[in-house]
Amino acid sequence: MNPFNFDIRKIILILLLLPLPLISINMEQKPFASNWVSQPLVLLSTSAQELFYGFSEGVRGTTAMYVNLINIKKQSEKIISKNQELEARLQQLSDLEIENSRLKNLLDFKQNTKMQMKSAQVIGLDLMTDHKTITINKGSQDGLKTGQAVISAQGVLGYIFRPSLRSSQVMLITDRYAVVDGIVQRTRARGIVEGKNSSACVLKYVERSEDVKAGDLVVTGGLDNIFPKGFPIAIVENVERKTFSVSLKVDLKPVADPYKVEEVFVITNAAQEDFGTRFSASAIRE
Amino acid sequence: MSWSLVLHFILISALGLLLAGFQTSFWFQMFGEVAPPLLWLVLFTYIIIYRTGMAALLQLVVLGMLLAYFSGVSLKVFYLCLLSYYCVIYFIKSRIFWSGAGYFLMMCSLGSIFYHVIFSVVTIMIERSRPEWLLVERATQILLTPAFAFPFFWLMQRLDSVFFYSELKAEVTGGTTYE
Repeated sequence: MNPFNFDIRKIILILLLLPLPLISINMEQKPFASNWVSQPLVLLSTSAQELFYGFSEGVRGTTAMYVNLINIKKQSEKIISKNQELEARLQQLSDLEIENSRLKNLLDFKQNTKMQMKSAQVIGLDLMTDHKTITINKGSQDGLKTGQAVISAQGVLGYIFRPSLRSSQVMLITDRYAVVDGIVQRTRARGIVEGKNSSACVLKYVERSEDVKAGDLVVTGGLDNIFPKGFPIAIVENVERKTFSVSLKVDLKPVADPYKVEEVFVITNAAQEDFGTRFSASAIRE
Repeated sequence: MSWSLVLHFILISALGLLLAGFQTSFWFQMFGEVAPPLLWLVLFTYIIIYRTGMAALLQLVVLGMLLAYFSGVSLKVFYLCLLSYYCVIYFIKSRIFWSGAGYFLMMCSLGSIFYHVIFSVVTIMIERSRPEWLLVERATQILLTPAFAFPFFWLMQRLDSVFFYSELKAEVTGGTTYE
């Protein structure tokens, strides 16, 4: 069947391959011509490219999302840390603001009086619960002496009873041994303020006929020029008129809470200061 | 007088000052008005239990003098309280004693109750002004003071083993004699 002994398949293959360079040359010569051969190939390649582009986009997107998630987690941790830091700073600022306000009040108080005072800080309380004393960080080397009045901007705290070189012990008006002369601001009724317990005092030796009622402000008498005159000591809480007693029993609540005071003033010279009616019971209660 | 005894006095006095400082200043700064534990009383109890009678008495006098400056209490009242407390604890120790922290805890618990009773009685007897009841404060102190007994016992045992090893014999021999 094959007289020339040719391999027909090879011949066909050659015949098929030979035109290819010719077609290619022809296509190179006419680049803008509509090349019917390349169109399906381009379509196929484009499809393949688009397929892989889409796939790679997906992979890239997923990877990016994962990386982003890691970054977001890191950023979130940073933000939380930063937030905590800022909250702490805010708290510090808030504390500073309160301290600033308190110190400003103290400064205003000091500037608006003719009394000579030394400021001190409370550094300790009494070792025994039965005694109400505080320790301040100023002593005899700062010019403090026994008996000098200790006040805050709000009211009387007590007086120095044991000064040492660099610190002093202050007997609070709530101590059962503390005595301060006091006047009921409204009626000028005189008495002696004595300590009762950690949060209360009593006004003793007030004549039975005197007009004293709950809510009255008891201020310093200023007799001995240790305390200024008219400085708040306590508010009257209760008045008891016993049948067989010549004096009233007046329970008081101190104006200044010694356990919440950080800075105090020691009056080295009261300079006959008279606060008159600068302080009122209603303002103090508010 | 041996150097060991001098060192003992100095160290215990310094410890007493530290405890009183912690109680009056640090506690107040941290916890405000909450009644502090009687840390100095824990030290006193330890001294009375684990030292000879005379050494404890001497130490008590020295510490009493120092600690009185942390308070508005008069020295006579404070000394009377301390001596009464010493007698009570010494009396119990000479009759009932066993070794270990459990005993110390029990003595601190009892001691903090005795102290308040003694202080109130002495104040009523000597001072013109009656003491307050202060139930919450006293109850808080009675509860808080023994809580510090275990760590304090551990600390003192370590200190004793370093500085005063011989004195620990008191514990194993019934707390009566050692020299």
